[in-house]
Amino acid sequence: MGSKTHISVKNLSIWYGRHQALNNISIDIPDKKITAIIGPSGCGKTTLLKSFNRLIDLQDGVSVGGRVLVDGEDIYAPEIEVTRLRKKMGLLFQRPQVLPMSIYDNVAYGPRIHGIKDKKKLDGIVERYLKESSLWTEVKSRLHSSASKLSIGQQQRLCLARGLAIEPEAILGDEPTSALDPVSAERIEQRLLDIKNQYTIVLVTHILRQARRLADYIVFLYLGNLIEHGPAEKIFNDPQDTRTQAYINGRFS
Amino acid sequence: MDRRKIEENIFKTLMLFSTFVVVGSLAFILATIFLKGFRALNLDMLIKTPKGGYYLGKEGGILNAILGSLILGVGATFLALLVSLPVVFYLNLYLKKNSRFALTLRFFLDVLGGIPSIVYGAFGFTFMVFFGLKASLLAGIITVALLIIPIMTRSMDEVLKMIPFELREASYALGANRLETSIKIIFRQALPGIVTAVLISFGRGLGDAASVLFTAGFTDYLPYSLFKPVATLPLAIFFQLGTPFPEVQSRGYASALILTAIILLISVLARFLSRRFTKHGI
Repeated sequence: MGSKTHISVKNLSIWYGRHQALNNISIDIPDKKITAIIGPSGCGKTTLLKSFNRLIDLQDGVSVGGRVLVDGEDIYAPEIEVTRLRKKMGLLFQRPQVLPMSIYDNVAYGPRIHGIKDKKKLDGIVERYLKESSLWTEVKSRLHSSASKLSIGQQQRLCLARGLAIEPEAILGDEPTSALDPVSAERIEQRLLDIKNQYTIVLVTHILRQARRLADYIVFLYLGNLIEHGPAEKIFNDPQDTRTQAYINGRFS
Repeated sequence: MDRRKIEENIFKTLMLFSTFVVVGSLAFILATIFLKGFRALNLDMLIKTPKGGYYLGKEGGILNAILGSLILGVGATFLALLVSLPVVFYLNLYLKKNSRFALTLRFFLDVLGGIPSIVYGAFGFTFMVFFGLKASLLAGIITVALLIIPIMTRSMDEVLKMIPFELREASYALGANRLETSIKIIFRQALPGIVTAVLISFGRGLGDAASVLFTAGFTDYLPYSLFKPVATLPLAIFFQLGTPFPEVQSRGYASALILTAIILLISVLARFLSRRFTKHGI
């Protein structure tokens, strides 16, 4: 692809207790492209995604083998500060999870934690990222009302703004449109396309058409194994593995 | 009527009956103390301390016990909160869900919560003797705090367990650490539940007689020192009901009415406050 690698996964295996969720995965996620992780339910898509910002650490009985390099740095090395790693990644969930505070404070939460106290600066950040997630015009008159009062589509765009406000290098999306109505989903997709030359985007999706619309690069997982990966047009037009062919042609989902 | 419908109706009737027992007994208790105590209730009871011969039917009031109970209850609740809050956040944010230590800790708390309050009283007494304390407000506060810590911790624990895991993940994903997540997100979201837990514990502490019997003692004077005995409402009720004089007994019911009213008032206030605090709750 000629693009440089941002996140490099090397022989990654992840277990939850005795259950092995990922088996010896090695892939390079290209910088400033959209990579879609596809595959049937329970294949380890979310586990792989959450291994990039070490959110899997929170799970019970998780153990990790192999390495994940972000900017060439092994993020599972003991000297890594996990809060600094997570600041590099904005995360969008399946269901938008707004924080129990105002719209303004939701966006300002990350920057405040990372040391920005100046009111003017925060105002600027909030405005900029609400604009970048195309929510600004809808909420500018009620920035201090509760974020939970927004519609679910607006909440997801707020989560995008909140993720962008920590000025990450990468955006991770865990089926970020699956709980949204079609119009809201399309707006999120559009935003992701608009910002993809600034951020590395990794999307978990079970919607093949979404992967087709957005992704430059595809990773196909099946039962914890990496089956095939490569540029989107190649995977969609000329899949090598029979399981990839079957999945892409909709023989299972 | 067919069989299934009859079954349905029988069980519905049984459920209604049980519901009635619950609601009815509350109403019955309130009506009893109200009817028996109402006539003895007067302003003097609220603003005066017992004069000589009060327990024989002479004049005076139970301000000593009202103030004593409130101060002891607030002190014990505060002390318990200082222990419970860290435990509950440690349990829920620092330990993993099924960690052996967390399970053991919850089991210990449940056992502690099941110990009768007289045992706490006896323990508090031993503890006092060991430190050379006399029956005093301080000893009462410590004993009641020990009594309510398990209740407070476990009810807060249930509240924190209900908070969606994704909310925590969302905060961590933004680079927040556990402390920031605890204070800025989880505490805020759990506040109404925490307030309720604190009040349940406060009510429990306020109403318990056995734990203060040896530890706080009793006095006709208003509380004025941490190291002197203090009167409490449950014991005031106990002593008044224990006299052979009907007049004093109905003062006992009036005291019960006052205790119940205080607890009721605090619950209502708490509901109101917690609703105001959580205008941004999700």
